Amino acid sequence: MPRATEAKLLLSATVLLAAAVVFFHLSGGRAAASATRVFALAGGSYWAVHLLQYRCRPESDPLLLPLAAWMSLLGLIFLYRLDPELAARQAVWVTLGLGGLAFFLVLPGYLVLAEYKYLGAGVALVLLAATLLVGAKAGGAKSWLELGFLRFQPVEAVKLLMIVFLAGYLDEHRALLQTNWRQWGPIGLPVLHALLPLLAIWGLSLFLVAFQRDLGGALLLFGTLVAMLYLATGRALYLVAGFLLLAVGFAAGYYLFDHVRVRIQVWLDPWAQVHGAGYQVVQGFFSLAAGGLWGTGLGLGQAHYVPAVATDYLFVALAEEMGLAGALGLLSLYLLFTWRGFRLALNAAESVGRLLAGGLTALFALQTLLITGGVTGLLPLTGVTLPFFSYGGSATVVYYLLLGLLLQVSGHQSGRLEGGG
Amino acid sequence: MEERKLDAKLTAFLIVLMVIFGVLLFRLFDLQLLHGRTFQARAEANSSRLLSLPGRRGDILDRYGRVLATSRPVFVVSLNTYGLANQEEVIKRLASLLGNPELTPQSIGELVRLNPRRYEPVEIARLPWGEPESMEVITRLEESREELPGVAISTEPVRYYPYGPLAGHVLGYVGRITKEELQAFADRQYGINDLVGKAGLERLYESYPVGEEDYGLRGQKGMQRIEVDVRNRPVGDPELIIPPAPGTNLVTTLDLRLQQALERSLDETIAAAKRKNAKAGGAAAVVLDVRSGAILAMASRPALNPNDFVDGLSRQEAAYYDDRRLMPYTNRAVQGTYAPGSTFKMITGMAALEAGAITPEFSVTCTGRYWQPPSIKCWDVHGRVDLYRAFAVSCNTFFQHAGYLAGPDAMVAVAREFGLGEKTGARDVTGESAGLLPSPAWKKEVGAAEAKRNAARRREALEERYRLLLAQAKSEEERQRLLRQKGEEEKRLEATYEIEYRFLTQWQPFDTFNMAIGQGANSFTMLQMANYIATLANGGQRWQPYLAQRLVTPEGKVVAEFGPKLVHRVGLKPQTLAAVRRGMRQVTLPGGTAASLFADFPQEIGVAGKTGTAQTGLARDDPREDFHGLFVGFAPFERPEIALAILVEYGESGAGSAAKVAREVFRTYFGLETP
Repeated sequence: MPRATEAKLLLSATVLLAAAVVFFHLSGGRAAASATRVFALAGGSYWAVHLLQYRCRPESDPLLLPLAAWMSLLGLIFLYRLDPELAARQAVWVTLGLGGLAFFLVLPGYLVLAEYKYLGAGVALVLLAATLLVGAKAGGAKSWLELGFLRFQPVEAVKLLMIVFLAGYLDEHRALLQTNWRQWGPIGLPVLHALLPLLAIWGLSLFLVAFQRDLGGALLLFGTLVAMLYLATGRALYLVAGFLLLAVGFAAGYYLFDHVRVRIQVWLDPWAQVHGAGYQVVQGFFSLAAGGLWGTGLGLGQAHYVPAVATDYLFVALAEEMGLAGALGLLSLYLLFTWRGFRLALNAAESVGRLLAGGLTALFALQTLLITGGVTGLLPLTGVTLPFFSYGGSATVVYYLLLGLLLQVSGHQSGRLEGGG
Repeated sequence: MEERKLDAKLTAFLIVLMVIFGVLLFRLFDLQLLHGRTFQARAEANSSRLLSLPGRRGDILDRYGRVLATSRPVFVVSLNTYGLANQEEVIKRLASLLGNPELTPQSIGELVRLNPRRYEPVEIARLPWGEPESMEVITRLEESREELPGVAISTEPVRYYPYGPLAGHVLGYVGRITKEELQAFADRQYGINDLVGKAGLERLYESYPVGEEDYGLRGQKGMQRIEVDVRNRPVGDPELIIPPAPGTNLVTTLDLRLQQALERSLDETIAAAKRKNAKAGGAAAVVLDVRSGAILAMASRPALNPNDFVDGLSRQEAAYYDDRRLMPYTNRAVQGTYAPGSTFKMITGMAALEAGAITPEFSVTCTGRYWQPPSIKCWDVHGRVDLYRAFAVSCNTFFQHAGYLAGPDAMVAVAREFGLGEKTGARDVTGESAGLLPSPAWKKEVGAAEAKRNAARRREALEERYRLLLAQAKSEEERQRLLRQKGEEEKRLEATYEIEYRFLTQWQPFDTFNMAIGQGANSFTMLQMANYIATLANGGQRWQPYLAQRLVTPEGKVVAEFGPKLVHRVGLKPQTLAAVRRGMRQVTLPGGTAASLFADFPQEIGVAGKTGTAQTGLARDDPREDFHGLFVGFAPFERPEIALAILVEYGESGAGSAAKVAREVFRTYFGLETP
């Protein structure tokens, strides 16, 4: 009864949303009335998707949608507390994302996507080229495309398109990538063209760093690719080569690009530039420290002093006001989602599906780690959003599409493992 | 088999992820609970604070090392409320001790509430150094230290321009950094409250990278650690962790005394002009060293006082600076373009001489009007005038004829030689205008566009009219008649266009006459005019004007030296230039238009000059009443040292306004006693 489970879990998320709306009304929110409507729209959309699942994908994973709902709704609550208008806008994005997800659900199957993998890769490259040629500038980097009133970051869509492409490509050429190795004693080395996909994506990532200053996007793209290569071939050498290329890229970036150098310097010692580049990171630390175990309480923190709190630092706002307990709670949602993702990858009927689900989940997990690691000072800070949770138009839509793909794959289970619930 | 392998890999991923999540959780635990205590401890009792120390900004000096822009200390009263129990009480006490009606307990409370950095003190008030009132306040605060936990008094260097508006447009000003600037200078480590050069030299020399070092005006911030006790009072001496580094000093080519004389005289002259014409108030002036192109003085009115910007503009100040009519931000000396009027006549004279059309002895008879139609009146009846007398009395008849003989192309060519109508390329000014030097080719381009525009407008009116008429036509017969009529009118329009096109695109005789006396579309900046006179004075070397002479570190090390740069050598015969210079000398001798002003100058400091009384060319002005006053000149006549160009908006006449300013500049430069 996977759908019944989903209904129960969605109900819990709806209760959360309703409680928040009541809370904001009681605490005298400024734009409470208008936000309620958009919130209701977003909340209702989850139920609509749920009903659609009954019809189209009755056997799909029952945990993923409610988990995403919890993440998004928690995000909306914290956005509302920082800036009601921004929250209303994010609610619209969530609804749009769910619309896209519904479209994937009604597709007959995901295998058809693998058929069009070259088209997808082509579109991805065109999008990137278009950004470079006609992109709009924001924050010194050309990483936005403007279509009338719509503005979106193509790199988000590119991530998804590349994963679909790789899943199809690696599945088709698995034999080639696995067998074209030369053996010197115990060490096996691939012939050059077996390394081509790795090098191509590495180049694409460097391009992202150089021309769009998008360190985060580049790391995600590259990391996901290495993970998928390893999944497809089982050759640990791909992991080693991936790490080496990553190191080379980082070293080159450090010397060539100011924005990379600044990020690394701040990571090593945020206090050295506490009034300049390190300001954001240090303010984030203060916010985290103020949170303690149980937090300051909703609306009582001071996270709005952290720059970019709605996008890169929304997690910190939650950690300050809900404390370590709240942060652990949120992170366990992400861990659960990752676990379900990998689990359904294991369960997938076709090997393309396994690669696809594995890659999508790897992307999700990597992005989560990059940003949470970044704000806690474990990793250099890269401006990526926390999936589903942070504010972000194109990022939110793309993550719901990702969820749609995962649900698709999970609807085609091989039945090797027992259904969850 | 294959499947099993994949399963193992996915499981491995999951395990790796769990480990990484674990590390993350531990880090959060560390930051929020363990480290959290240290952060709080840092802010509470017996803790140490890191405070940034502002680095002193480099001074801007005149050519003799006299200070034009510097920094002076101010007292900064700040309040740290972190962990303060009786915050409200302290704020109330502080407000009463400060005695500033604008700093009420409510407004201080607001400042504290809006403080973006909770662990750092918030600035409450700034008090100027060395003034009795502020010393009184500081003493009061020091005496009540015990009752004011969390209150700290420190000193900080702040930009100060000792002469107020003097050379304000040249120096520029500093202001709080904007978000856009923060982003643009991301690699230079600015903080959100930093001051940064916004205009003029302050902006241009904010940063001056030489290799790895930055020798700009900006000082580098330092860091100090202070131990404080429970009540937030400093315990022991602050420990300097990183000493602040002062910025580099900029030595300019300006001469403070000359600049003062120029501006004082400009202000007096403007005040006098205002009494006669309410539109007066603007002015522009440039003084150059003819041997190098160094700018000795440069001024623009309405004035800009850089001190106004240090603490942000008051509402009243903002209204003044944003006034669209006054436009005080504009540096009129390099951005404002004006019709040169009679000060252009040296170009006309040189063009005629160089073409061989006239000799210095050539003469005409001025009857008060040039004899060729469509002539422009002369301002007087001058009788027989040769080249020298023509300069002395500024005879329009003579120069219209000289221009007619030389032709427009020759005049344009000579004007180009002297850099008119193109940017001088001056190094240390921003937003320089190119001005406009009309020529037959220019007229063809502009006129064609205008003729087309006019024709299109007339054509549209015609169509509109006949659309109405045809709609009201009662019979087919009437319709036909109307259509025929329309065809006729269209033909007539076509003919009008042809005539107008020819008229507007072809250089007309009156264009030549207008140009010969510096009217019409001619318009140049005073920087161009001064450079043209300097080039004429030094025998044809056109230098690139510049303001920055060298950068000197506070230790006295010269890190950059800027020298003169020759841009062009004028390709005219030396005799041509000499003849025109001789003509300019007559202007200040008995019988010249500016004779009375320079009568008391000693023979060896002969001033050569030219007055100009130019129609403004602005639609809102009356061409018979509103004139700009100009004066250009150089001295000494025999061995020229300086050249200048001065314009007083609505100054009535050159001799009545701008020439008076020139007189004061020359007197000061040559050290003549004021009578």
